[in-house]
Amino acid sequence: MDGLVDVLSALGLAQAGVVFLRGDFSRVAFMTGRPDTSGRRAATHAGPWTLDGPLTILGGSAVVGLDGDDRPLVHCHTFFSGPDGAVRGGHMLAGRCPLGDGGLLGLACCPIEAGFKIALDRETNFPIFHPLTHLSGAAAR
Amino acid sequence: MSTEARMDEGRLGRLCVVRLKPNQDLTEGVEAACLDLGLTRAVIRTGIGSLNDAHFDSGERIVSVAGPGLEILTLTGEVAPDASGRPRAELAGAVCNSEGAVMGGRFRRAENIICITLELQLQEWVPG
Repeated sequence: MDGLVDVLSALGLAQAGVVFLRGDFSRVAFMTGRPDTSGRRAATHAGPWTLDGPLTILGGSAVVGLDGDDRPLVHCHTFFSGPDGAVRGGHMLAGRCPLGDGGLLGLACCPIEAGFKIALDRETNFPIFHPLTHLSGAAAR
Repeated sequence: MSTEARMDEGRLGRLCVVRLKPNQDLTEGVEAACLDLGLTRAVIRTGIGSLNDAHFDSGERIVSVAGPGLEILTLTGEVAPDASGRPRAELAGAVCNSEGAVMGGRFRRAENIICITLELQLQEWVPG
C-alpha cells in the first residue's frame, strides 16, 4: 500500500480508486469484520491474521484518500489464494503486505477535484472516509 | 469469429465520489446516489465497505452470508435507466466473513444493508 501511494504521488495524484487486475503478495496481514458485543458499534474487527506467500491476488480494490493531516491514507480490501490454493480475503493492513516479485497491476481512477478524507463518524464510531466533494473531471492511468 | 460481442459506443463522463451510510440497501443506495447526482447511466469504478449480511443470486439459488461486518472486497456493475427512466443498478461482487472466507455473486435488491460504510466511485456513461 505504501508503494501504491508512492506511485500516485510521483504522478502528482493524491486521490484514487484502484481496482486490482493482477499481482501477488509475499506476505499478508489482514483483518475481517465481526459482530461487536460491546454495543458501541455495529461491528468490529477480527484478527489480524498473517499468511506467508506467495499469495496470488484474485481481486480487490483500494481507495486512496487523506488522513486528518492531509497525508495519503489507503483503505484496501483484497482476496487472494495461498500456496495451498485456499482463498481468503479481508481488510489489508498498511505496511504489512509486501508485494511479491510480480508486483501489482491496477487500474486507478483519480478524481482531480474530489476525493475522500478520514474523519470520525459519530454514527458508527469509526474513523472513516467522507467525500470532500462529489463531481470532478477524471484521470484514469 | 469464435466470439460474440455487442459494442456500446460512448464516453465516460463525470466522476462521482460517494459514501453510502449504515442501514441503506446497497443497490437502492447506488440508485439513490445516481438520482441525486443526475446520473441515469453509470459504471462502478471502485466500491469497498461492509454489509450487515449478504444475499446473492447464484444461478437459481439464493446464497446468504451471515454478518454483521462482512467486508465488501469487490463491487462491479452498471446503472442504466429502467422503463420509467429512473436509474436502476445491477451489481455483483465478493465479500468475506469473519474467518476471511470469500463468497460472491449478484447482489439481491433490498437485501444487502450497509453496515459501516461504502466508499464508492461512480462514473457517468454518456452514450453517443
